[in-house]
Amino acid sequence: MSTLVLLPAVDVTEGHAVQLVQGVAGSGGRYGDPLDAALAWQRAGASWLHLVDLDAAFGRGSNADLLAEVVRKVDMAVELSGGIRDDESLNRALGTGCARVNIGTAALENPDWVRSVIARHGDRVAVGLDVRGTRLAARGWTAEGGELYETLDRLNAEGCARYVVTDVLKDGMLRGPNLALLRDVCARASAPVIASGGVSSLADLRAIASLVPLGVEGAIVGTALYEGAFTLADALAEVAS
Amino acid sequence: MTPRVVVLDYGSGNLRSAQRALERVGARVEVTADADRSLDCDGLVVPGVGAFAACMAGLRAVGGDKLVTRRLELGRPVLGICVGMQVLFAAGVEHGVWTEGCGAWPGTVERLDAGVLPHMGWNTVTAAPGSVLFAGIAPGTRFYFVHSYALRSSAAGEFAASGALISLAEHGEWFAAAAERGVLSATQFHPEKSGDAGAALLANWLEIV
Repeated sequence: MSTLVLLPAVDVTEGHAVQLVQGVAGSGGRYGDPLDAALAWQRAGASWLHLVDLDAAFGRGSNADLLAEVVRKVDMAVELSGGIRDDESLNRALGTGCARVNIGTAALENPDWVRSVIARHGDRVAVGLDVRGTRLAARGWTAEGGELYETLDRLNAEGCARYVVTDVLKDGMLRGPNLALLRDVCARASAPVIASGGVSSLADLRAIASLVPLGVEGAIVGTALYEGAFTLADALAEVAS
Repeated sequence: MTPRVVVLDYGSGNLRSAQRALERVGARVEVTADADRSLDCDGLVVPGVGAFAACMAGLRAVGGDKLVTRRLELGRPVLGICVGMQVLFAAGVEHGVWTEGCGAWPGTVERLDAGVLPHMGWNTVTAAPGSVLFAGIAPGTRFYFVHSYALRSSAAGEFAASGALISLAEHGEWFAAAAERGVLSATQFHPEKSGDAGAALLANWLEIV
Protein backbone atom coordinates (compact mmCIF):
# COMPACT_ATOMS: atom_id res chain seq x y z
CA MET A 1 0.00 0.00 0.00
CA SER A 2 2.65 2.48 0.96
CA THR A 3 4.86 1.37 -1.90
CA LEU A 4 7.36 3.97 -2.99
CA VAL A 5 8.20 3.95 -6.70
CA LEU A 6 11.94 3.93 -7.28
CA LEU A 7 13.36 5.63 -10.34
CA PRO A 8 17.00 4.75 -10.88
CA ALA A 9 18.75 7.52 -12.78
CA VAL A 10 20.90 7.41 -15.87
CA ASP A 11 22.59 10.75 -16.54
CA VAL A 12 23.94 11.17 -20.04
CA THR A 13 26.63 13.53 -21.27
CA GLU A 14 28.40 13.47 -24.65
CA GLY A 15 26.82 10.13 -25.44
CA HIS A 16 27.92 8.41 -22.25
CA ALA A 17 26.32 7.56 -18.93
CA VAL A 18 28.17 9.75 -16.51
CA GLN A 19 28.31 7.24 -13.75
CA LEU A 20 29.38 3.73 -14.36
CA VAL A 21 26.99 0.96 -13.40
CA GLN A 22 28.99 -1.42 -11.36
CA GLY A 23 29.54 -4.72 -12.97
CA VAL A 24 28.05 -3.88 -16.36
CA ALA A 25 30.03 -5.52 -19.13
CA GLY A 26 31.26 -3.06 -21.69
CA SER A 27 30.90 -0.10 -19.43
CA GLY A 28 34.49 0.01 -18.40
CA GLY A 29 36.39 3.19 -17.85
CA ARG A 30 34.99 6.34 -16.47
CA TYR A 31 31.90 6.27 -18.58
CA GLY A 32 29.34 3.63 -19.43
CA ASP A 33 26.94 3.06 -22.25
CA PRO A 34 23.55 4.62 -21.35
CA LEU A 35 21.55 1.72 -22.79
CA ASP A 36 23.62 -0.84 -20.87
CA ALA A 37 23.12 1.17 -17.71
CA ALA A 38 19.38 1.38 -18.29
CA LEU A 39 19.08 -2.32 -19.05
CA ALA A 40 21.02 -3.14 -15.89
CA TRP A 41 18.38 -1.33 -13.84
CA GLN A 42 15.67 -3.11 -15.79
CA ARG A 43 17.20 -6.50 -15.02
CA ALA A 44 17.41 -5.51 -11.35
CA GLY A 45 13.64 -5.06 -11.35
CA ALA A 46 13.07 -1.36 -11.95
CA SER A 47 9.71 -0.40 -13.42
CA TRP A 48 10.75 3.22 -13.97
CA LEU A 49 13.85 4.90 -15.35
CA HIS A 50 14.83 8.52 -14.78
CA LEU A 51 16.79 9.42 -17.91
CA VAL A 52 18.59 12.74 -17.99
CA ASP A 53 20.23 14.67 -20.83
CA LEU A 54 22.79 16.60 -18.84
CA ASP A 55 24.14 18.44 -21.88
CA ALA A 56 20.67 19.74 -22.70
CA ALA A 57 20.08 20.64 -19.06
CA PHE A 58 23.18 22.79 -19.04
CA GLY A 59 22.48 24.17 -22.52
CA ARG A 60 25.71 22.88 -24.03
CA GLY A 61 24.46 20.19 -26.40
CA SER A 62 21.97 17.37 -26.90
CA ASN A 63 21.81 13.59 -26.66
CA ALA A 64 18.27 13.48 -27.96
CA ASP A 65 18.70 10.67 -30.49
CA LEU A 66 20.51 8.47 -28.02
CA LEU A 67 17.89 9.02 -25.34
CA ALA A 68 15.15 8.21 -27.84
CA GLU A 69 16.91 4.94 -28.60
CA VAL A 70 17.09 4.06 -24.91
CA VAL A 71 13.38 4.78 -24.51
CA ARG A 72 12.62 2.51 -27.49
CA LYS A 73 14.72 -0.38 -26.25
CA VAL A 74 13.76 -0.64 -22.59
CA ASP A 75 10.60 -2.13 -21.16
CA MET A 76 10.49 0.34 -18.29
CA ALA A 77 8.41 3.48 -18.13
CA VAL A 78 10.80 6.35 -18.75
CA GLU A 79 10.79 9.79 -17.23
CA LEU A 80 12.82 12.06 -19.53
CA SER A 81 14.54 15.07 -18.10
CA GLY A 82 17.00 17.75 -19.06
CA GLY A 83 16.71 20.92 -21.09
CA ILE A 84 13.01 20.70 -21.87
CA ARG A 85 12.09 24.34 -21.97
CA ASP A 86 10.34 25.06 -25.28
CA ASP A 87 7.95 23.36 -27.72
CA GLU A 88 10.74 21.95 -29.83
CA SER A 89 12.52 20.19 -26.97
CA LEU A 90 9.20 19.15 -25.44
CA ASN A 91 7.82 17.62 -28.63
CA ARG A 92 11.06 15.79 -29.26
CA ALA A 93 10.97 14.37 -25.74
CA LEU A 94 7.31 13.35 -25.91
CA GLY A 95 7.92 11.93 -29.38
CA THR A 96 10.29 9.31 -27.98
CA GLY A 97 7.32 7.52 -26.45
CA CYS A 98 8.48 8.12 -22.90
CA ALA A 99 5.87 7.91 -20.15
CA ARG A 100 6.45 11.46 -19.05
CA VAL A 101 8.81 14.38 -19.26
CA ASN A 102 10.14 16.67 -16.58
CA ILE A 103 9.92 20.33 -17.37
CA GLY A 104 12.96 21.92 -15.83
CA THR A 105 12.91 24.66 -13.26
CA ALA A 106 14.46 26.99 -15.82
CA ALA A 107 11.25 26.75 -17.85
CA LEU A 108 9.39 28.39 -14.99
CA GLU A 109 10.94 31.63 -16.20
CA ASN A 110 8.30 31.34 -18.92
CA PRO A 111 5.05 30.85 -16.97
CA ASP A 112 2.78 31.16 -20.00
CA TRP A 113 4.52 28.32 -21.75
CA VAL A 114 4.43 26.09 -18.66
CA ARG A 115 0.72 26.78 -18.23
CA SER A 116 0.02 25.81 -21.83
CA VAL A 117 2.14 22.64 -21.52
CA ILE A 118 0.24 21.54 -18.41
CA ALA A 119 -3.05 22.22 -20.16
CA ARG A 120 -2.03 20.35 -23.32
CA HIS A 121 -0.24 17.34 -21.88
CA GLY A 122 -1.70 16.72 -18.41
CA ASP A 123 0.00 13.92 -16.54
CA ARG A 124 2.62 13.31 -19.23
CA VAL A 125 4.32 16.35 -17.79
CA ALA A 126 5.93 16.77 -14.39
CA VAL A 127 7.42 20.04 -13.25
CA GLY A 128 10.85 20.00 -11.68
CA LEU A 129 11.31 22.16 -8.62
CA ASP A 130 14.99 22.61 -7.89
CA VAL A 131 15.07 24.17 -4.47
CA ARG A 132 17.66 26.03 -2.51
CA GLY A 133 16.24 27.01 0.87
CA THR A 134 12.78 28.30 -0.05
CA ARG A 135 13.86 29.66 -3.44
CA LEU A 136 13.89 27.94 -6.80
CA ALA A 137 17.32 27.52 -8.30
CA ALA A 138 17.12 28.09 -12.01
CA ARG A 139 19.41 27.31 -14.93
CA GLY A 140 22.31 25.07 -14.02
CA TRP A 141 21.48 25.71 -10.37
CA THR A 142 23.44 28.94 -10.45
CA ALA A 143 20.80 31.55 -11.16
CA GLU A 144 18.01 32.14 -8.69
CA GLY A 145 14.40 31.62 -9.68
CA GLY A 146 11.19 32.57 -7.89
CA GLU A 147 9.93 31.84 -4.44
CA LEU A 148 9.09 28.14 -4.09
CA TYR A 149 5.68 28.32 -2.46
CA GLU A 150 4.32 31.13 -4.64
CA THR A 151 5.33 29.12 -7.68
CA LEU A 152 3.79 25.96 -6.24
CA ASP A 153 0.48 27.70 -5.61
CA ARG A 154 0.46 28.95 -9.18
CA LEU A 155 1.27 25.51 -10.61
CA ASN A 156 -1.41 23.90 -8.42
CA ALA A 157 -3.95 26.32 -9.82
CA GLU A 158 -2.82 25.50 -13.36
CA GLY A 159 -3.40 21.80 -12.76
CA CYS A 160 0.17 20.53 -12.64
CA ALA A 161 -0.05 16.72 -12.37
CA ARG A 162 3.24 15.94 -10.63
CA TYR A 163 6.21 17.64 -8.99
CA VAL A 164 9.81 16.46 -8.97
CA VAL A 165 11.46 18.06 -5.95
CA THR A 166 15.23 18.36 -5.72
CA ASP A 167 17.15 19.99 -2.93
CA VAL A 168 20.11 21.22 -4.95
CA LEU A 169 22.27 21.36 -1.84
CA LYS A 170 21.69 17.64 -1.26
CA ASP A 171 21.76 16.18 -4.76
CA GLY A 172 24.70 13.89 -5.40
CA MET A 173 26.03 14.55 -1.93
CA LEU A 174 24.95 11.30 -0.25
CA ARG A 175 23.96 13.26 2.84
CA GLY A 176 20.35 12.22 3.11
CA PRO A 177 17.19 13.68 1.58
CA ASN A 178 15.65 16.90 2.83
CA LEU A 179 12.60 15.36 4.51
CA ALA A 180 11.39 18.67 5.92
CA LEU A 181 11.29 20.14 2.44
CA LEU A 182 9.40 17.11 1.08
CA ARG A 183 6.88 17.36 3.92
CA ASP A 184 6.37 21.07 3.32
CA VAL A 185 5.95 20.66 -0.43
CA CYS A 186 3.51 17.76 0.04
CA ALA A 187 1.42 19.81 2.44
CA ARG A 188 1.19 22.52 -0.17
CA ALA A 189 1.00 20.48 -3.38
CA SER A 190 -2.28 19.39 -4.92
CA ALA A 191 -0.47 16.68 -6.90
CA PRO A 192 1.93 13.83 -6.11
CA VAL A 193 5.62 14.45 -5.50
CA ILE A 194 8.72 12.64 -6.72
CA ALA A 195 11.67 13.07 -4.36
CA SER A 196 15.03 13.63 -5.91
CA GLY A 197 18.41 14.02 -4.41
CA GLY A 198 20.35 13.04 -1.35
CA VAL A 199 19.44 9.36 -0.96
CA SER A 200 22.49 7.69 0.56
CA SER A 201 21.19 4.58 2.29
CA LEU A 202 18.28 2.19 2.62
CA ALA A 203 17.38 4.09 5.78
CA ASP A 204 16.96 7.23 3.65
CA LEU A 205 14.61 5.31 1.35
CA ARG A 206 12.62 4.10 4.34
CA ALA A 207 12.37 7.70 5.53
CA ILE A 208 11.08 8.81 2.13
CA ALA A 209 8.71 5.85 2.00
CA SER A 210 7.25 7.04 5.31
CA LEU A 211 6.14 10.17 3.45
CA VAL A 212 4.04 8.22 0.93
CA PRO A 213 0.93 8.95 3.01
CA LEU A 214 1.66 12.66 2.63
CA GLY A 215 1.81 12.44 -1.15
CA VAL A 216 5.32 11.32 -2.06
CA GLU A 217 4.93 8.87 -4.93
CA GLY A 218 8.49 8.04 -5.86
CA ALA A 219 12.16 8.64 -5.34
CA ILE A 220 14.91 9.15 -7.89
CA VAL A 221 18.06 7.32 -6.91
CA GLY A 222 21.35 7.90 -8.64
CA THR A 223 24.63 8.40 -6.87
CA ALA A 224 23.93 5.93 -4.07
CA LEU A 225 23.38 3.13 -6.59
CA TYR A 226 26.44 4.03 -8.62
CA GLU A 227 28.61 4.32 -5.53
CA GLY A 228 27.37 0.93 -4.36
CA ALA A 229 25.72 2.15 -1.15
CA PHE A 230 23.06 -0.49 -1.82
CA THR A 231 21.78 -2.51 -4.76
CA LEU A 232 18.62 -1.66 -6.64
CA ALA A 233 17.21 -5.09 -5.77
CA ASP A 234 17.73 -4.38 -2.07
CA ALA A 235 16.17 -0.96 -2.45
CA LEU A 236 13.12 -2.35 -4.25
CA ALA A 237 12.68 -4.97 -1.54
CA GLU A 238 13.05 -2.32 1.14
CA VAL A 239 10.28 -0.07 -0.14
CA ALA A 240 7.97 -2.94 -1.06
CA SER A 241 7.89 -4.25 2.51
CA MET B 1 -21.70 31.22 5.18
CA THR B 2 -18.29 29.61 5.34
CA PRO B 3 -18.67 25.88 5.93
CA ARG B 4 -16.84 24.54 8.98
CA VAL B 5 -15.06 21.28 8.20
CA VAL B 6 -13.16 18.96 10.50
CA VAL B 7 -10.47 16.69 9.08
CA LEU B 8 -10.47 13.80 11.53
CA ASP B 9 -7.01 13.37 12.99
CA TYR B 10 -6.74 9.72 14.02
CA GLY B 11 -3.13 9.21 13.02
CA SER B 12 -3.73 8.27 9.42
CA GLY B 13 -3.73 10.17 6.22
CA ASN B 14 -2.86 13.21 4.41
CA LEU B 15 -4.14 15.73 6.92
CA ARG B 16 -2.34 18.89 5.87
CA SER B 17 -2.96 18.41 2.17
CA ALA B 18 -6.61 17.72 2.82
CA GLN B 19 -6.83 20.79 5.04
CA ARG B 20 -5.19 23.02 2.47
CA ALA B 21 -7.23 21.67 -0.42
CA LEU B 22 -10.48 22.30 1.48
CA GLU B 23 -9.37 25.77 2.52
CA ARG B 24 -8.58 26.55 -1.08
CA VAL B 25 -12.20 25.93 -2.04
CA GLY B 26 -13.55 28.04 0.77
CA ALA B 27 -13.96 25.92 3.90
CA ARG B 28 -12.82 26.82 7.39
CA VAL B 29 -10.90 23.71 8.37
CA GLU B 30 -9.81 22.27 11.67
CA VAL B 31 -7.66 19.15 12.03
CA THR B 32 -8.67 17.43 15.24
CA ALA B 33 -9.94 14.23 16.84
CA ASP B 34 -12.08 16.13 19.33
CA ALA B 35 -15.41 14.29 19.43
CA ASP B 36 -17.65 17.32 20.02
CA ARG B 37 -16.07 19.40 17.31
CA SER B 38 -16.13 16.48 14.89
CA LEU B 39 -19.79 15.91 15.61
CA ASP B 40 -20.87 19.55 15.47
CA CYS B 41 -19.04 20.72 12.36
CA ASP B 42 -20.82 21.14 9.02
CA GLY B 43 -18.72 18.52 7.26
CA LEU B 44 -16.44 15.76 8.52
CA VAL B 45 -13.61 14.39 6.40
CA VAL B 46 -12.24 10.94 7.23
CA PRO B 47 -8.87 10.52 5.54
CA GLY B 48 -6.92 7.28 5.64
CA VAL B 49 -3.90 5.57 4.16
CA GLY B 50 -2.16 2.25 4.67
CA ALA B 51 -3.77 -0.94 5.81
CA PHE B 52 -7.50 -1.33 6.40
CA ALA B 53 -7.02 -2.99 9.79
CA ALA B 54 -4.60 -0.35 11.05
CA CYS B 55 -6.90 2.46 9.91
CA MET B 56 -9.88 0.82 11.52
CA ALA B 57 -7.97 0.35 14.78
CA GLY B 58 -6.89 4.00 14.71
CA LEU B 59 -10.41 5.13 13.94
CA ARG B 60 -11.89 3.09 16.80
CA ALA B 61 -9.22 4.41 19.19
CA VAL B 62 -10.62 7.93 18.79
CA GLY B 63 -14.24 6.76 18.59
CA GLY B 64 -14.32 7.68 14.93
CA ASP B 65 -16.53 4.78 13.92
CA LYS B 66 -19.26 5.84 16.37
CA LEU B 67 -18.78 9.43 15.31
CA VAL B 68 -19.49 8.57 11.68
CA THR B 69 -22.57 6.56 12.66
CA ARG B 70 -23.87 9.37 14.85
CA ARG B 71 -23.36 12.00 12.19
CA LEU B 72 -25.25 9.91 9.66
CA GLU B 73 -28.13 9.53 12.13
CA LEU B 74 -28.15 13.31 12.50
CA GLY B 75 -28.01 13.84 8.73
CA ARG B 76 -24.61 15.54 8.82
CA PRO B 77 -22.31 15.11 5.83
CA VAL B 78 -19.22 12.92 5.97
CA LEU B 79 -16.58 12.45 3.27
CA GLY B 80 -14.21 9.46 3.32
CA ILE B 81 -10.96 9.58 1.34
CA CYS B 82 -8.95 6.55 0.16
CA VAL B 83 -8.81 4.06 3.04
CA GLY B 84 -11.13 6.53 4.75
CA MET B 85 -13.62 5.40 2.08
CA GLN B 86 -12.84 1.73 2.48
CA VAL B 87 -13.48 1.66 6.24
CA LEU B 88 -17.01 2.93 5.66
CA PHE B 89 -17.97 -0.48 4.28
CA ALA B 90 -18.98 -3.52 6.29
CA ALA B 91 -15.57 -5.16 6.08
CA GLY B 92 -12.19 -5.34 4.45
CA VAL B 93 -9.98 -8.32 3.60
CA GLU B 94 -6.24 -7.79 3.34
CA HIS B 95 -3.74 -10.64 3.13
CA GLY B 96 -6.49 -13.05 4.07
CA VAL B 97 -7.35 -11.14 7.23
CA TRP B 98 -10.98 -10.10 7.60
CA THR B 99 -11.56 -6.84 9.46
CA GLU B 100 -14.88 -5.35 10.40
CA GLY B 101 -15.42 -1.83 9.06
CA CYS B 102 -17.75 0.97 10.15
CA GLY B 103 -20.61 -0.75 8.36
CA ALA B 104 -22.19 2.45 7.10
CA TRP B 105 -22.38 0.82 3.67
CA PRO B 106 -22.82 -2.83 2.64
CA GLY B 107 -19.96 -4.60 0.92
CA THR B 108 -16.45 -5.93 1.48
CA VAL B 109 -13.30 -4.18 0.33
CA GLU B 110 -10.92 -6.57 -1.42
CA ARG B 111 -7.69 -6.62 -3.37
CA LEU B 112 -8.06 -5.60 -6.99
CA ASP B 113 -7.47 -8.26 -9.60
CA ALA B 114 -4.81 -6.38 -11.57
CA GLY B 115 -1.42 -7.12 -13.02
CA VAL B 116 0.22 -4.13 -11.42
CA LEU B 117 -0.49 -3.07 -7.85
CA PRO B 118 -0.72 -0.66 -6.23
CA HIS B 119 -2.87 1.23 -8.67
CA MET B 120 -0.84 4.43 -8.54
CA GLY B 121 -1.33 7.40 -10.81
CA TRP B 122 -3.90 9.46 -12.64
CA ASN B 123 -6.98 7.73 -13.94
CA THR B 124 -10.36 8.63 -15.34
CA VAL B 125 -13.63 8.08 -13.50
CA THR B 126 -17.00 7.24 -14.98
CA ALA B 127 -19.31 9.35 -12.85
CA ALA B 128 -22.60 7.86 -11.71
CA PRO B 129 -25.58 9.62 -13.29
CA GLY B 130 -26.84 12.20 -10.81
CA SER B 131 -23.60 12.33 -8.88
CA VAL B 132 -23.21 15.48 -6.81
CA LEU B 133 -19.48 15.06 -6.37
CA PHE B 134 -18.83 15.02 -10.11
CA ALA B 135 -21.33 17.73 -11.07
CA GLY B 136 -19.83 19.94 -13.76
CA ILE B 137 -16.66 17.86 -14.04
CA ALA B 138 -16.02 16.87 -17.64
CA PRO B 139 -15.96 13.16 -18.61
CA GLY B 140 -12.38 12.01 -19.07
CA THR B 141 -11.09 14.14 -16.21
CA ARG B 142 -8.35 12.37 -14.29
CA PHE B 143 -7.95 11.90 -10.55
CA TYR B 144 -4.98 10.68 -8.55
CA PHE B 145 -5.12 7.15 -7.08
CA VAL B 146 -2.80 5.22 -4.73
CA HIS B 147 -4.32 1.94 -3.54
CA SER B 148 -4.41 -1.82 -3.99
CA TYR B 149 -7.83 -2.47 -2.45
CA ALA B 150 -11.29 -1.19 -3.26
CA LEU B 151 -14.94 -2.15 -3.44
CA ARG B 152 -14.83 -4.19 -6.64
CA SER B 153 -17.76 -3.58 -8.95
CA SER B 154 -18.45 -7.33 -8.91
CA ALA B 155 -19.04 -7.00 -5.15
CA ALA B 156 -21.03 -3.78 -5.33
CA GLY B 157 -24.44 -5.23 -6.21
CA GLU B 158 -26.04 -4.91 -2.81
CA PHE B 159 -24.63 -1.43 -2.37
CA ALA B 160 -25.91 -0.30 -5.77
CA ALA B 161 -29.31 -1.82 -5.05
CA SER B 162 -29.48 0.23 -1.85
CA GLY B 163 -29.66 3.38 -3.94
CA ALA B 164 -26.01 4.35 -3.79
CA LEU B 165 -24.49 6.35 -6.61
CA ILE B 166 -21.33 4.48 -7.51
CA SER B 167 -18.77 6.13 -9.81
CA LEU B 168 -16.39 3.63 -11.35
CA ALA B 169 -12.79 3.50 -12.45
CA GLU B 170 -10.88 0.67 -14.08
CA HIS B 171 -7.54 -0.82 -13.15
CA GLY B 172 -7.43 -4.47 -14.08
CA GLU B 173 -11.12 -4.51 -13.26
CA TRP B 174 -13.83 -1.99 -12.48
CA PHE B 175 -14.12 -0.75 -8.94
CA ALA B 176 -15.85 1.98 -6.93
CA ALA B 177 -13.80 5.14 -7.40
CA ALA B 178 -16.36 7.16 -5.49
CA ALA B 179 -19.71 6.60 -3.86
CA GLU B 180 -22.53 8.73 -2.53
CA ARG B 181 -25.58 7.77 -0.52
CA GLY B 182 -27.49 10.32 1.49
CA VAL B 183 -25.12 12.51 3.46
CA LEU B 184 -22.25 10.04 3.19
CA SER B 185 -19.79 10.45 0.31
CA ALA B 186 -16.38 8.97 -0.36
CA THR B 187 -13.62 8.79 -2.92
CA GLN B 188 -11.09 6.03 -3.43
CA PHE B 189 -8.80 8.55 -5.13
CA HIS B 190 -7.19 11.52 -3.42
CA PRO B 191 -9.04 14.73 -4.30
CA GLU B 192 -6.44 16.67 -2.32
CA LYS B 193 -3.77 15.36 -4.73
CA SER B 194 -5.88 15.68 -7.86
CA GLY B 195 -5.21 19.28 -8.72
CA ASP B 196 -8.04 21.31 -10.23
CA ALA B 197 -10.31 18.31 -10.66
CA GLY B 198 -9.96 17.42 -7.00
CA ALA B 199 -10.63 21.00 -6.00
CA ALA B 200 -13.79 21.02 -8.12
CA LEU B 201 -14.96 17.81 -6.45
CA LEU B 202 -14.30 19.15 -2.96
CA ALA B 203 -16.12 22.36 -3.88
CA ASN B 204 -19.09 20.22 -4.97
CA TRP B 205 -19.01 18.42 -1.64
CA LEU B 206 -18.95 21.72 0.25
CA GLU B 207 -22.18 22.61 -1.55
CA ILE B 208 -23.98 19.91 0.42
CA VAL B 209 -22.41 20.46 3.83
